[in-house]
Amino acid sequence: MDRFERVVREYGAALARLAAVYAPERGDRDDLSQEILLAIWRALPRFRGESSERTFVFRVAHNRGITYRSRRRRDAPPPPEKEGSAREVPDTSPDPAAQLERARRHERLVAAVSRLPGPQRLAVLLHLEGLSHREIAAVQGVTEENVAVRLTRARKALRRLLGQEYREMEP
Amino acid sequence: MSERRDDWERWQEDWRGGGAAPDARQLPLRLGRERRRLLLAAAAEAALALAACGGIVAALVHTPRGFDRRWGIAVLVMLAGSWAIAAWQRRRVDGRSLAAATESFAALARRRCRRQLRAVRLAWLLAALELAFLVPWWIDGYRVHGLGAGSALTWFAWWVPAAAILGLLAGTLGVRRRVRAELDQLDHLERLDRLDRPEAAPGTGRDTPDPDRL
Repeated sequence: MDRFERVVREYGAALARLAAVYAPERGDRDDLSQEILLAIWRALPRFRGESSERTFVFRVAHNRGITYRSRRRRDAPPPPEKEGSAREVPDTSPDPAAQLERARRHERLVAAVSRLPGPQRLAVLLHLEGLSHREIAAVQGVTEENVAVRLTRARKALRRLLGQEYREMEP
Repeated sequence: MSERRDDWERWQEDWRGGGAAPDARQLPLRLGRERRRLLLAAAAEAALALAACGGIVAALVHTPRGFDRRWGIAVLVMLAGSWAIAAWQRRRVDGRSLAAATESFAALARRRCRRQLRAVRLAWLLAALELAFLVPWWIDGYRVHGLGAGSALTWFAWWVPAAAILGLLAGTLGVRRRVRAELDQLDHLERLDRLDRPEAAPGTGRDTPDPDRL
């Protein structure tokens, strides 16, 4: 269980963010997070180091996300989050207003990423988690060039989805 | 270029502003529940198979004719074989495919779905063969013994196998519906994946924030 606990400690927050993209409803997120942990717990003994541990963990998590979503048939895009509804955001800021604003921006971004086509969505969320193009390519089973194309298209789509909000935020 | 970097930097900051690690302490509970669910499913499958086989065995004991006997034995062997294969496949649940890259995961999942659809068709064929064997025997038995609907023998030889066949049909219909939905989703993923390739026609797949289904 040691190795698993370390993986949970290290990637837990990232896995929760990934779950949020595949399960827009808050109740489902917890459910999917647990399913992902269960899948990693099962798959971890098979990890032989052919890829980086991070790549392995995200592959398992994403594959579980696909299965979860295809079985739940939650086809509709996520409903817009109510302001300040992101209860799970860690409390690191002393300023409640700033904290609320950050939570709102995070949820808006999650909602926008959820609306991207599947392959772009995965590339984006892995990129946002800080994976390199090479690592993303390994998770998706495509070339680095494919990853670059997906990210370029996703950036344009995200700019359009979020553009209004960001324009409003400009001083 | 700097605009692009600005976008990603800003989004990364927003992205990491949320998400709390899931509570791993609930995992043992969930694992126990999952094990119980698998055990229950295996037990239900075994009960169905035993009931279906039991009906045939009961019929065989009372069937002196050569052709009917051979037919019954063939159906019995096929039923028992299908049950054994299903049990063996259950042990190899998608553990290996879980860690596969997205593309091969989709291919493996699709293969698994098609295998399940074939298994459903096989189950229907077996149910039809079993019914073709049992129905004449039921009619003959009713004529010869004239037993009431509530007698123990009628229960064992008639109602239990009939309920098993009905349960099998209902279960396989549910599996078929779920697997076809999963296949649809996988096909959708593949279409999106093709659109996202650099060689895709210009203008396709780009900026398509349609509410996709995966």
